[in-house]
Amino acid sequence: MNTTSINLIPEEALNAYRYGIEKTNLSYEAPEVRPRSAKFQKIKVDTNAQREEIIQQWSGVVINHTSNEITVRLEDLTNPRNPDELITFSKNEIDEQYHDLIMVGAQLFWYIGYTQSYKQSKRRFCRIVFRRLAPWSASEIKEAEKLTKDYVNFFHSD
Amino acid sequence: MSISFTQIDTNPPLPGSTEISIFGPGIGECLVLYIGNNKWFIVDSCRDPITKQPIALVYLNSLGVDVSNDVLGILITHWHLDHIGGAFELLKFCENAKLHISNALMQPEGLQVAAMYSGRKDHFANTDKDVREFAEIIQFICTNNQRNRIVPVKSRHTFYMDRERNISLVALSPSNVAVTQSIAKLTQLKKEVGDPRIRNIVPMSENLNAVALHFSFGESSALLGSDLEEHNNSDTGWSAIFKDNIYNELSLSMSNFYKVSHHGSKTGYHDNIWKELLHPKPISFTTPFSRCNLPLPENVQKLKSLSSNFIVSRDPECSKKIKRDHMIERELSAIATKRQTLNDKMGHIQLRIFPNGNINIGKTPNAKIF
Repeated sequence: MNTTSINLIPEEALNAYRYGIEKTNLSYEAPEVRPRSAKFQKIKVDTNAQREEIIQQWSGVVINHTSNEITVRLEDLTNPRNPDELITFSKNEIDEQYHDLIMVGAQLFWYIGYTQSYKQSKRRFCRIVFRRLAPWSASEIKEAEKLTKDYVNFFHSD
Repeated sequence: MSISFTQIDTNPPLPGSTEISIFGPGIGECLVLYIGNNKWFIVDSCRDPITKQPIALVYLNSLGVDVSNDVLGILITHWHLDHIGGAFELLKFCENAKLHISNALMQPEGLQVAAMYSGRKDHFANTDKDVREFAEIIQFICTNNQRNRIVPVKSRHTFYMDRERNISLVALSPSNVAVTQSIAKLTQLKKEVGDPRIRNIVPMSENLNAVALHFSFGESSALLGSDLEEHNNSDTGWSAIFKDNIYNELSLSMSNFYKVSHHGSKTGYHDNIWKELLHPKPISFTTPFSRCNLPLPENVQKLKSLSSNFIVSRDPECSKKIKRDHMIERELSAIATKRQTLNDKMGHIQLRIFPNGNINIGKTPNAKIF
């Protein structure tokens, strides 16, 4: 072991630590070598936060709907080898914020799993979420109209 | 003439024989026709549920067929997903093949639908597969400047004719009225600024615009009904074929093989098909359609009574069990008022007709003979 390593702290600084700057007052406080890093701030635990474990998820498309019921075609995202399923269920199962999105062709995701928090015991959850997508924009329509003209010229010009 | 039932023959058919192979449901229906002299014709396309490849390509490759040269044509009888899935890949690999498609889709109204979705990578890229398959085909043809590879089809169109060997493939539908109706429906798929972005669904009425075929080979012939339906309108569907007197006009023979139209449904049935277009007790075959449980038991009973053999490419009653956690099943059952599994396992029926009239029917174990 290299004994010179003890002398890495300058002698003057060590003496200031041992005997005080004026060499009269004894100090037991360690010299502040660097400021405390922000990385090591104390972690606050949110006791209300929930941890979710999704066991099963599907992507679905609305096939049909009446005033009370909705039929969706579900594609298994958890096990893609499973065949698609048609499921009919009550519209009451869907959060009211999504009711205006229910139309034939609307896309949704369906999740089933467990939720747990510091204060709450483990419980099952089942959530249906509709995708809120941007409607067709003017630029997209304009672009499509231009392409239509190109196609018509290509296939119908002699 | 003798009929024998065997397993699927994995060797290519003999040059003088004919083959009609039907695949389904997978995610649809596909027919592969051998027209002799190492030449093939594909009617509709669907994907293998496991490999996701177009089933026609998988099958022809397994027989050692040079698909780039030996496939003469691809017909998309109508553009529902169960008939168009994978057609773009077929077009790319079968470089020598022409793509036959309904006349309505090649009108400006159809091209406009293709333009809406061409190259668009949005949230529905994986779900609007029927519309986007069509859009990809149109874009591919334009980009590669291959206009002569697309052939618009309506009734009386001849796809293939070999007078020497008496082989022909002719379109019986769609009628002019059906094409006009289809064009009118296509305009409804046009989007305006602010329209919600939804998964597009090709109208069910497109079945009236489907292409039914008469496939003649030697002394025999097959009626391939596609999804053509009958809605009691004499100008569309099967009625239009009888009203327009197409069989007499084109001197077509009655058939002894029938690919039952629209998965054996009631709306695909017309009395005159069995009286005027088919010999008594033909060999009939079809594919099931899981979403509507077709063919229904009453459809099967009726078709069985009219045919010498009625074969479905996959048993409609077969097991539809899904392997899943019990908790998920309980939760799903608590919410659902009705549940139905769409069993998409692929089945295959292979009919090989030899020059001496003998017939070999091969089938996968999940196909069912009634």
